Amino acid sequence: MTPRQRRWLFAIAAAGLVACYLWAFSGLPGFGNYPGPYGQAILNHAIAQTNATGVVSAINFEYRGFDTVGEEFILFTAAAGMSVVLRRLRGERQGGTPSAEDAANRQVPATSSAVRVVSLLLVGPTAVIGWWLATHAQANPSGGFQGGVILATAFFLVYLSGEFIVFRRLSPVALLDAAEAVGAGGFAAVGVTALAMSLPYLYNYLPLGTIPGAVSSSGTIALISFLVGIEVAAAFVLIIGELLEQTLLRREESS
Amino acid sequence: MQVFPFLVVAWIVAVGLYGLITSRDLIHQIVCLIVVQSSTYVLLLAVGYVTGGVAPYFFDISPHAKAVDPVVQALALTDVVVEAAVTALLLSFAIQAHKRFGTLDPHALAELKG
Amino acid sequence: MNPLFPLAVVVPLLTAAALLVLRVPLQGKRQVRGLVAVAAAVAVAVMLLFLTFRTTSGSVYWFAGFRPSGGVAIGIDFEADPLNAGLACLGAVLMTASMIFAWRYFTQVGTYFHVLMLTFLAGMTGFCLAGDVFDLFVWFELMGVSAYALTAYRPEERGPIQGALNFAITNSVGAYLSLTGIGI
Repeated sequence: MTPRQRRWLFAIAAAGLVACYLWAFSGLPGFGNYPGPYGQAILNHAIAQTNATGVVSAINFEYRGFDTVGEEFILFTAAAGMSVVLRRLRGERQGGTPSAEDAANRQVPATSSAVRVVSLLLVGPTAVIGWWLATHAQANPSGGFQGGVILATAFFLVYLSGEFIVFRRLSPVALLDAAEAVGAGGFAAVGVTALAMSLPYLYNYLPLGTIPGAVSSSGTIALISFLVGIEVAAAFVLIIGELLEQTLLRREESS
Repeated sequence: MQVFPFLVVAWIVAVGLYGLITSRDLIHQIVCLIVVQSSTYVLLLAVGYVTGGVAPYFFDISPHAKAVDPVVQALALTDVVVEAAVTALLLSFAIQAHKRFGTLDPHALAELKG
Repeated sequence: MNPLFPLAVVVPLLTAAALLVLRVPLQGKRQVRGLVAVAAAVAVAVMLLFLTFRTTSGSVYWFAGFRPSGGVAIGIDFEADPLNAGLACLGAVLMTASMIFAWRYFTQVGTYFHVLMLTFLAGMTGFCLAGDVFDLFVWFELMGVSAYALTAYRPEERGPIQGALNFAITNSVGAYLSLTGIGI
């Protein structure tokens, strides 16, 4: 099938798809007139039931916590899958320390001191911000996922400052694998603990405090958010570390 | 104004799919996939919007304020993570494809035919 | 409220996480890894067998204790009737068989193979048992991601990589369109 025929086939199919979309949308209540009882029911009960003022996080980690377990394991599986697909195969040598000829052949200007200083200075604040975001899911628009990604960024700032070898040493694959598995498995295990207490899976069994929005008063939400933060940070450092390591490998191949 | 966000959704899907099909570069195809996924975020958030509602975070406002639907926001959060994971995996496939086939052109991946 | 419902999904997930934590200590011990993975799959198959035959049709498990009230259901549920539990059981049995087959077939299989197969099993089970449409999508995506990674398990050959790319892109487009349907 030539590309032209493919394009025509696509145009016909896309027209049909868009027509179906428009037909579906015409049956929806207009933009801004959300009618559903689901959202309102949760808004009415969320703070009373969970002491979490951040309702979206309460939904993510409590009302629909089981969806979040699945999603965490999707990230876990993707990182593990990348370790499989990008593994070092026979015929590819590992470039541990780039040799002097490699460095001379690179034709890339060395990292300027300004970039180096700024990125290294930013590592600390970024890590603190990521940590704070990951542990305060119940009060503000943050949570394990957002905080975890920012924690991972703290590692990448080390890479950006030009120190790739330090970055690799700071992020050994075995430790990251273990951290990722502890985060993901920990989340699932929090639910299993509820089962052991003859409660439904992922029931909020930790004592609820009195102050809505404080860390210690939302029960399992804060704990789960923290575990998710660890898992997401480890997964992202693993993913990007694997991708970056490919550049080292390829240089060795072509040299 | 009532249906504008939904028209945007349909347009993004069409544009993303067109890019996916007529692409000559694997990385471009993966980014087009991300574009198609973004349309679902727009749809989810548009479905849940309440005119005059505030964000559903009640740390400093009264819990009885009119708020937008928090459920679809939680769903969109889940979707973003899922998409990031799938994209990462696809990019690693693209790297291996470049190593095996020497090119990133999807039309040149001709190993499996029929 | 049968605790077998969540356990059927959580047991393979926890086993996968445990296998990854113990990746370095279990480096050379192929038999131990294979045994653990097969045991998890068999356990899931047995649990699902129990769910298929011993529960009445339409028994429902509500997660985190959120039962519907006033006609609005705000939690997620799992439902088991003979059809979907039976299908999940079939999946678990096939997974056990494939892991036993792979025991001898793959001469050089690392930990990641069993991890991916177990998450695939968890995704299949969750997909069959889910009673909530968005939960269905999440488990479907888990199945998808595990399947993409397993398809590309031999990246040194060209066929698997091309196949995995095709599969991943087509499957993902389908999944996102179904998510659009869920949103609407």
